[in-house]
Amino acid sequence: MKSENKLVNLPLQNKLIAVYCLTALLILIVNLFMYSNINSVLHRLDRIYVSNINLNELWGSLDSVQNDMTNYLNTKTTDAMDSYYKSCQDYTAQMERLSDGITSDESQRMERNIKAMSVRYLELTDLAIEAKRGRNVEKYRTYSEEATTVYNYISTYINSLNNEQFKSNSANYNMLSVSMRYVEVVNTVVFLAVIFGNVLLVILVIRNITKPLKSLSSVANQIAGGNLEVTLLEVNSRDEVGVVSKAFNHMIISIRNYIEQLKASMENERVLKENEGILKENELKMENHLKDAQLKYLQAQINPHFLFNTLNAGAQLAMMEGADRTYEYVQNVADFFRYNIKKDHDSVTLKEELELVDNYVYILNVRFSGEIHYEKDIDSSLENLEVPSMILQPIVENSVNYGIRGISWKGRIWLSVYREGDCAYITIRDNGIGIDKEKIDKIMQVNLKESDISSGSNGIGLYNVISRLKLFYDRDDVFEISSQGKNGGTLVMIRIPL
Amino acid sequence: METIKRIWKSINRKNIFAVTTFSLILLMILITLGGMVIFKAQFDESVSIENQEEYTEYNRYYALITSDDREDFWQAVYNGAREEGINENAYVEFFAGDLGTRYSMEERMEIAIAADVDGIIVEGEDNDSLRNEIIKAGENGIPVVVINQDVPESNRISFVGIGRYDLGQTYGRQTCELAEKMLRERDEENDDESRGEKLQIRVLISQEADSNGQNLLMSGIREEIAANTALEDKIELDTYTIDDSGAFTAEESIRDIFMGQDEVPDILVCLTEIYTTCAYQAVIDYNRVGITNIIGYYDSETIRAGVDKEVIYCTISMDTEQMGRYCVYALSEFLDVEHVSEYFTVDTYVVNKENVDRQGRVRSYEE
Repeated sequence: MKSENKLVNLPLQNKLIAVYCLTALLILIVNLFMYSNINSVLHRLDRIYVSNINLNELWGSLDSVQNDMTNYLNTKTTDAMDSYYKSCQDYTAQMERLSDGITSDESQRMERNIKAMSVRYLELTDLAIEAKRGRNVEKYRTYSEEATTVYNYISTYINSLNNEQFKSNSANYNMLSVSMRYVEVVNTVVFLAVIFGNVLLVILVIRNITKPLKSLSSVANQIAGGNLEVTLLEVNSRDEVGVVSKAFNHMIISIRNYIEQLKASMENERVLKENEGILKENELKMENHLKDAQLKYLQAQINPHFLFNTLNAGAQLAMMEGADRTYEYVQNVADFFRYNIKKDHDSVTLKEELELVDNYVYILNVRFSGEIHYEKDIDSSLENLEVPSMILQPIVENSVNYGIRGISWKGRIWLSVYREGDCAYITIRDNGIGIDKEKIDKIMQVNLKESDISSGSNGIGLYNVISRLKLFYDRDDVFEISSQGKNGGTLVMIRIPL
Repeated sequence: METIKRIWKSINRKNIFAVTTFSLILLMILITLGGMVIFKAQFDESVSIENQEEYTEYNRYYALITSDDREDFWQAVYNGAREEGINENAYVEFFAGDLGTRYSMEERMEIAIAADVDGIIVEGEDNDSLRNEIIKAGENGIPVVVINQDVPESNRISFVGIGRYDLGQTYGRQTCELAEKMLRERDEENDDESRGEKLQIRVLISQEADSNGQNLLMSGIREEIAANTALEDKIELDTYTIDDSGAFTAEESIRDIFMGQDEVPDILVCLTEIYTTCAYQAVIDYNRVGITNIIGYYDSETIRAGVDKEVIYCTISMDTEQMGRYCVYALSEFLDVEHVSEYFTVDTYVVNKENVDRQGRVRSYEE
């Protein structure tokens, strides 16, 4: 078990190398096995026909002896003599290798006979040569004839033996070819079995290696899909995959903890917000804005009380002198300023707002010689509607300053208050130069902080109005500007929920 | 069981991989080793068949030379000689009989002399060339035993065979027996036509064989018949010479007897195995079964079958294995003590309907 644990703990690279080496080793063993099988058969095969080869050589030597003897007897040259002795030597050497035992084996007995006859033959050839040297014509003929007879017998014997051995060698050869076929079959079977086993082994090991990788990837996919509630990976090995799996498990746990913490803190925040309330915040903002507006207003005016008292004195003077129009004018101006002084509450009735607009338009018409045609259409049931103060006048002022001032045709302003559904609508429309879409978006989106009293404005800026309306009614669609484009006039609509 | 359970428990999930891998490798190694073992077993077997023969060494080497090694008669002689040879530590073989070239007996003698064998057993023939070879062998120090027929005036050490005269007497006795039986049957049949006619007995003799031996044999037959006075004027004995100078001529000669103008004899006395076999076949072929009876020589399978079917009345055989044994004994004895008896007489016996179905020659002989 120890060694197996070691195997499991090997690095991935070493594991793969080990698998490769193991399979290669197995194949090598099988190859060695096949090689040794084939080798042993081949080795035997090599030796099978050796006896035939030897016999053929023996016969060749015998033939040389016979030829050389005949040659010498014919020619009596020294060369022939040398050649004869050499052949004799060769033949004797080969002959000595033959078996000379009397045994039950026919081949061995034949060898023995060949050997015995060869001894006799060589004696006879020697005698023939000697007789030739001694010029004993009769004797050398007799000896050579006898030698030739024996030579023929030996040849027959060698041939017969050769035949016999060839037969038995062929039988052996057949037996070895059977072995060879056997080797073929056994080798093929073993080889195929081992190849098959190796494939299984490789599949097994590779699967074992990739299995944790697969489960790792599937878990990773689940997590990527947002499911953090996955079961942790089982880590068995200490290889790279094991390390990654472990780290992955840690990561899952960390993410879960982090998310838990995050959830808790978000919950806390939500509770806090609920407690404090958005209303309070809005109130604060409202107050701020109003203060801001008033400050701006005060900054913009010289002491209004002084101005108001002064204007009142002027009105009384005009009345005493019988200048009614002057009286009315000064009275209107005084009313206009008084509204600003008096109104330090944040909400007023719609009626009061409308009176301020009337004052303002009167003053302007006096100033600009009745250039502004102001018409209003009021649903009187809505006159007591509570609205934030200082809303309508800045809008009308805007219409005058940016809408109808400087136009070549007669400037008109229409103001209407009506009810539709569960909302009250206040619209202020002019037939001025209009306003383009970009400007409208800019006005609608601009933050309160960036708002300011426009240069040239008589009072509170449009931005201030919009912001306050939104804060007062706590909704975004309370204020709307639309225009027909260039010279198409402008329509401002305030939607007040009832 | 407990251990197995425990082992199984220990093989938990984690270890299954290791165990499988290990067993797979083990299996592959086992397959390889198994293949090796199977192959080795097969190969060793084939090699062992190849080298199976265990040879026995012998001290002496005797050459057996006959005119026809394949004949049953000589095979039987050879078997006896082989058997005795094993006892005497000598190897006997049909010498130079199975070579690429067919050699005559004389040439085989020459080869045996050149090969310097320890002794020669040769089938005797009464001719000079064989006599010379026997003398030559003697000059080269090789003792020669002559078998079946003597070669006089050679320096052969022994002759092993049957006494020709004795053999003739045996033939004579059997002939008389058969003649008496046939005459008795003829009387019983009351065949008036044939009554008074003499039984024709014909002895087939060889043209080639030595006249001495045949003469002895014939005189044995004649003497035996003459001794039987009852038959004296009832039978007529003559000889017929078979031309066996060339191959296959003996058979033709025997058929001539049946086809010839002369009367076909009542009894044919055959002196060789070949004559007996040929006569047997001819009697059947010419529809003479029961009319012409045969007294044969030797007991080959065919001849015994003939006896069994009563085509051959009886056959005179000899203990051929004993013949072989005597030859080897004579040679070894001579080589050991340089002296041995000149004559070895082989036992003869008669095979007839009564004892033919008993198996084997030896048993018949023992009886």
